[in-house]
Amino acid sequence: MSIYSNAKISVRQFAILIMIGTVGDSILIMPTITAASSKQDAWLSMLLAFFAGILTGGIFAAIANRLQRVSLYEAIRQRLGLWFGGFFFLLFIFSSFMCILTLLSEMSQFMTTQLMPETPVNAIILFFGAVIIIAYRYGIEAYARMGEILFPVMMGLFVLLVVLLMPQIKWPNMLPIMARGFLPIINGALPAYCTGFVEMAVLLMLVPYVEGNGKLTKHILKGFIVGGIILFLIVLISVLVLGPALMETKYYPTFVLAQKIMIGHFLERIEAVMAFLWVITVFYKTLIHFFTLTTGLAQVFRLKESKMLTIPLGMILLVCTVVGTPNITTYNQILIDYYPWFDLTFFLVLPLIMLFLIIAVKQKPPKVQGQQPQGQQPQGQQQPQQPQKN
Amino acid sequence: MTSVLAVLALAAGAFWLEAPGLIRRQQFRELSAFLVLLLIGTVLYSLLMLQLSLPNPFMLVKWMFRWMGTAKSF
Repeated sequence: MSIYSNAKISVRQFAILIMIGTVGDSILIMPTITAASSKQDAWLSMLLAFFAGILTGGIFAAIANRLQRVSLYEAIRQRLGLWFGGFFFLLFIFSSFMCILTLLSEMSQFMTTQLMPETPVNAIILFFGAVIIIAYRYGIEAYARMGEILFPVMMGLFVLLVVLLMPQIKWPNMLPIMARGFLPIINGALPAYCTGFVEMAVLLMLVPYVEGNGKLTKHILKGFIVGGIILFLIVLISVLVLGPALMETKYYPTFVLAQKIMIGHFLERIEAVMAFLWVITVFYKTLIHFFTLTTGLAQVFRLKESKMLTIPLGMILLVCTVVGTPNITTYNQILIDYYPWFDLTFFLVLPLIMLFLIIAVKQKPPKVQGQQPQGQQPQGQQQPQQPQKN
Repeated sequence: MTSVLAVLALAAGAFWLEAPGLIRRQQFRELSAFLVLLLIGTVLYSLLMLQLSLPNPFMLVKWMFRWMGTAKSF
């Protein structure tokens, strides 16, 4: 019996997972990648990315509602058949694999450059990966509940960060507004939009586990809006406190922001406490992508369970992360110049094709009436309300 | 060499943790998937520990979207 049999999460937990996932690694890297193009207009780039993100959330919600709690793989397989549907879904899984590599890279780089410079990068990835694997093996209900507990902590730390930085705000840092035109703002908005919002297409994998049969639009949009507001405020505060030059040159401006907190010489150097906020958000985003990777593979290969895949996949991910990040400069160049297009292709165009297929193509009838192919009961997808279940 | 032995020990540990249950439940498809992935993971990890050159997965992304770099240069 799979650990995910009849696993259910509430709509509130679902929305929280989306909120934390949206913030994800963006909270660490967003100020740099927006300021690289749009300088002091980074906040405008983020605002643009936010509105585009809400629209994208609407697209994901449309897909989620039409899935009617059937797994994404099952919906695709019913329309494209076993082989083509499987191939199509493998592309989606591959994109999650690549996304996990970026997340692990960012996490390990952050830890080695800012917090634990003496610790080997392998050790950091190994321990972070181990926590992800353990969380996955405990099941979606466990980490959705944990998310519910950690969300107030995350919000508390975020509010504390914003409030404590208020005295250091310098409004002239925003000026001049749109001095170089609109194009740099769009250039800055693209990676922000992709990293923050488009990569959350993986929420579609969580849909079969959400309890009830109601529409999910409100909850998905709530997740995107709250996550987007957090990211917007982080970029805005970065512009106002650090200014565009520091934002652009520092790899982790949010960390520098936390270092700047100094209240009356008694409350200072709280960046290590703030780092907990980033660890939570990166952890949850990685976990949701790892869930997509592992559960998706189990579904495509018609496995009854998936937890035995976690350790081997963890080993592969560790190797690919270490190999994929020879140095921070090469990695950042790929991340800014090429990765947004990868995200758009695999996390936006693919879901759009999925939406088209779900709307336009009729489900293929089962070959033998009353006999369920094994692929229709993949790991972790045994929902009692699935219409095709006996 | 010690690091490769550590990787092999990790792989053996994973096998000891997962395989008996899968065999007992006669889940041979799951066992095959596990063994294939474990083999890939062990080989890759051992190569990494031996400091042999492995292809960078992000170069695949760069290769797929290299036309964007060309487009930007115009």
